[in-house]
Amino acid sequence: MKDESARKYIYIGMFVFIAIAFIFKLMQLQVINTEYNRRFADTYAIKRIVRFPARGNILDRNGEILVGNDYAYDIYMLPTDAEPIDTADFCYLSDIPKEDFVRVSRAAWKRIKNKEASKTEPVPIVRDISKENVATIQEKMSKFKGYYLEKKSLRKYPRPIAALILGEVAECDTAITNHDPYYRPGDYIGKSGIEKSYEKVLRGVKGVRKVFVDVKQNEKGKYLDGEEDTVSVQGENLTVTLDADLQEYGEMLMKNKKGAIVAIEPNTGEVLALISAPTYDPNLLVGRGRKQNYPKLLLDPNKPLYNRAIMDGYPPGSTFKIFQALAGQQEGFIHNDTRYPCGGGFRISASHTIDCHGHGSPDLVTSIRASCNSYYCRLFVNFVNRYPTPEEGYGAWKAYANRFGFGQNFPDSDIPNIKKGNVPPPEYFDKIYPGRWTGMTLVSLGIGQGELQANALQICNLSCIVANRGYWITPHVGKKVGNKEVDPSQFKNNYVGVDDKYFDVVQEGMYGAVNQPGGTAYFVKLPDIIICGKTGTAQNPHGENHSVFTCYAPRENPKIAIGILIENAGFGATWAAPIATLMIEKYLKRKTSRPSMEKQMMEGNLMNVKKTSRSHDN
Amino acid sequence: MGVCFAVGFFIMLFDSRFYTNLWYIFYGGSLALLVLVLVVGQTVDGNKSWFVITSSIKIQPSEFAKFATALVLAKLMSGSNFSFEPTSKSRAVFRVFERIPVVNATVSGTLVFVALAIPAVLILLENDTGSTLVFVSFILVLFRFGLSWLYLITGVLMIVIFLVGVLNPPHYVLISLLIAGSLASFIFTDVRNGWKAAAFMIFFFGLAMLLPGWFADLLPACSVDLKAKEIKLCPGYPGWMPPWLPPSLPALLAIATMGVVSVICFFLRRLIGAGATILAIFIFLTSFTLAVKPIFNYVLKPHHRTRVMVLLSKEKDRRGAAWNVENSKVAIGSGGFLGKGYLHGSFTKLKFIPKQRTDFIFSTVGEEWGFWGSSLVLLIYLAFLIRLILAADRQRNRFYMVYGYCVACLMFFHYFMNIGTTIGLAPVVGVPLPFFSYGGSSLLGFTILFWVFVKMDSQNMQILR
Ligand SMILES: [Zn+2]
Repeated sequence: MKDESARKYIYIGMFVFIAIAFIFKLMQLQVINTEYNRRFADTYAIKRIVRFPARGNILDRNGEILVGNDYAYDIYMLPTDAEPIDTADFCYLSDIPKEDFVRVSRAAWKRIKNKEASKTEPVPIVRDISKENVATIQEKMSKFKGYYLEKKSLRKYPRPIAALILGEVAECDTAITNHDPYYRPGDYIGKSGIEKSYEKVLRGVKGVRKVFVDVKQNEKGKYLDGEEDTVSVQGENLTVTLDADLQEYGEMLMKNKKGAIVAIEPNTGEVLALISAPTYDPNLLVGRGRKQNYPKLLLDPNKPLYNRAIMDGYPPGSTFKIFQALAGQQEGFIHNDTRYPCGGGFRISASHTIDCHGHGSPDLVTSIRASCNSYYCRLFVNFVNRYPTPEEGYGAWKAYANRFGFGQNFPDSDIPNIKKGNVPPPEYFDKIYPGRWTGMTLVSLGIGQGELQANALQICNLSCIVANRGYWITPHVGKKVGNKEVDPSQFKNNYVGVDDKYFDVVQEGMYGAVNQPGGTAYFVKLPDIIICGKTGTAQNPHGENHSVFTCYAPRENPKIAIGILIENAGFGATWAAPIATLMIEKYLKRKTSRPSMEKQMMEGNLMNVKKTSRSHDN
Repeated sequence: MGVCFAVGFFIMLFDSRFYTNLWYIFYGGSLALLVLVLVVGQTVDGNKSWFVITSSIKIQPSEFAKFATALVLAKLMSGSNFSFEPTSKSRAVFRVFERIPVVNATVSGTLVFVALAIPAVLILLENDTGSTLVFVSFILVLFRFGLSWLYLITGVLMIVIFLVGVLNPPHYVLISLLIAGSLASFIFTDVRNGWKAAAFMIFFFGLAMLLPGWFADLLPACSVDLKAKEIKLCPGYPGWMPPWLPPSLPALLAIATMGVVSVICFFLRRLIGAGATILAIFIFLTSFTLAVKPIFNYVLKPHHRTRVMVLLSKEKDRRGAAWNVENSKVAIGSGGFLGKGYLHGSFTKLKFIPKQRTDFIFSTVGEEWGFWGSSLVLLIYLAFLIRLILAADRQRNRFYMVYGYCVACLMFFHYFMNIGTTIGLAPVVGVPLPFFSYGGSSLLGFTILFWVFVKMDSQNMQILR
């Protein structure tokens, strides 16, 4: 066999040659020819094409649409394609002031120049062109190179009601986009109210397609072969517990008044209506009008954007006596026949007396029915003084109040941003009356005044507790998601720690207040619906007192509880009680038997009431 | 990884005679697995070549068939009677067969091709083009053991002619061929001298690499309509053909002509001796030049055609088939001289390139380590391959020697195809880069292949002592 050993050099030569060829090619790609380098920067961009699903509708408890969808258009500019355009023509066509156009596009180009934005990222130039106006613009769009129309979905409110509780959908800001990777700048998100608490249900799932694009934004293929692409899923319809008719009726009754009404179905905790007045048409804050309307509403001195139903609130006034009567009985030092004398007032000191009407020596039922201040001042002082120190006594009292929902913000509720109100802790009084306070010092708390603050929701909840004889279910608005009932177990049964037997007296007192002569709200008695209620007046050092009323009906098997608070309306029975009973009638019978009272209430204007005289507190 | 170390350790425990004596078990077992995978295997990425055990453990039997085939080749070619050229040593029975002029082959030589063809065909049936080509690359080994270099030269020239001929009119290619042929005959006087032969190979490989890879853009281009059913590259073809003829007829005719011409040339070679060899090859290549377009249009499948166009840089549409290659080139190019640093590659982070942990791993190297890093990798591979060839060549045991060459050639082919693909110098066939690509089967396959040779080499040294 001949020696073929030299052939190994042919193999080695082949290997060397290939390696040299490869290194030459690498040098061409990486060192000599920077075209590839540049192409990376210029031409490669991953574009996320997002498909936004339609947001779910919001329906009321009877299936009526409260919030639906509409659509509108935005004009975007793509900097890489944009050519100089006839600005005047463009602004005329899209109906925007020329300054706006100049400002927006200058800002966009500046961001590009400062490398804060990419040239391939579309910039919104004109927002919210209604579908009626889009046709004429669409025709002429081709004149403006680099500008294009994009459709988007907007909220629509068939009935202009419940603006605050439904909440708003708006573009998310960086605070949100930095926290939640789901949202991108420009995405819409539920910002308040139901839109916020049910955001995840309503928004659906947006679909994202990732594609490679070249400088001209032409698609150049799927990123990762579509591995990370997702399909959009439509948002689910949400049925809420609100009753659209009741809500609308309440808003009409509250027209030209400041205040709030909350109606709850006691045995379920479902919120039937949540009214804050003055209110506004939610359609005002959608689309193009938003820009002008929002600042107007924001600066309105009557604060229509402020949800009075769940705010920190006002002193609950005499409605608090219900709570006092229950807590006192549970503590065991008050019975139905416990009588405290009322000689027309409760003397705190030589110079200061809390007025009353002179009820003689009322028992517990009478004290509620007639709302005797002296009785509850005495009750409060005795409550606190039963304990070794005022801190302990007051602490025990506060614990009851907290269990009744006062001073707490219902964290398990699906209504966002409920405020706590105020039941001050003992430490607070230690600070302002260092070492020298007793029950007597705080006696105004006993009649729901002083530092106490409660909102309409908490006042309504108080009636729910009486109606349920000892517990309340966290007030909530979610009823059904799609066709699935919202799990009721997520809303707690909250027991207040007062035994069932103590409620007879209080119910009797609340019955008497509306249905018996001498009751503080006797004049709103209805012949066919037995309403149990309690009036109240919140002292207002700045003007006319606020009118408060809480009630539930019917007495047997209660269907609705109402808490109502009207600013500057004076004595609780004058405005608050009639409106509450009109609401009850509306809900239970769908009509009113007292059209004249309805007319009077609707037409009443309490927006600019000056303080007339020092009102007596009932 | 750990498994591979364990396997390497086990391999070192066995005596290398374990492999030399039990080659038929390995080969038979591999063939059985290849048949089995056709029946019960699962399809991953279009190749029905996987046994999926769990979602993370997948085995590709073709990886182990490479090892088994290397053993078989070593066994067949280490026999004392082995030769590709008929010799007087052949047994009387076979001499009759060898005298038939057209066959002009030995039985032992033919057996080698049969042993290669069986697994190659089975893998082709799995639709795994890359692995099939790996088996074709075993032919490289044969040149060391007596197969004439003319086959290799002819093969390389066929590739060059094909790539150039796809884009250019036949007369253009024929003129180039004439020039190359006369140059070749000038050097051809003593090709058996090793150094001259090496220079000769470099020249032709140079042609092969340069023409399609770098100068394709400079060649007169014809319009390429990839969306059309057939790729029409040059006007005028196949206009001469009557419309009633089946479209594949010219291709069949061309292939038949090639066969006839090569037979005639072999007769001529017998008659007029070695000088006719060049003439034979030239005539064969001329007929092949004419057959390039029919083969391209009617024999290749559409996805094969696009791969060829990608290689020729005629298909730059990043949406389509050129997607991986163009992105890989851009990724490597974006690395620049110094690279972006480990794990800082934008492409790598963006998962821009499919299969970037396996078939396109070199693009990650190029992007993150730049020119110096990727060149270093190339040089390390080169040193490794040269070391393998030198180690194979010094084996006293012919079995070990053939096996060593098999290992070296397989590694080289993988290295060439894998890195060549990422920088656009080889078509996309999807082979892993030895010891670099992730993927259990291939890493394990290379581990076995390599460590068995290390074991053989160590025993060879013992024989020396
Ligand atoms: Zn009294």
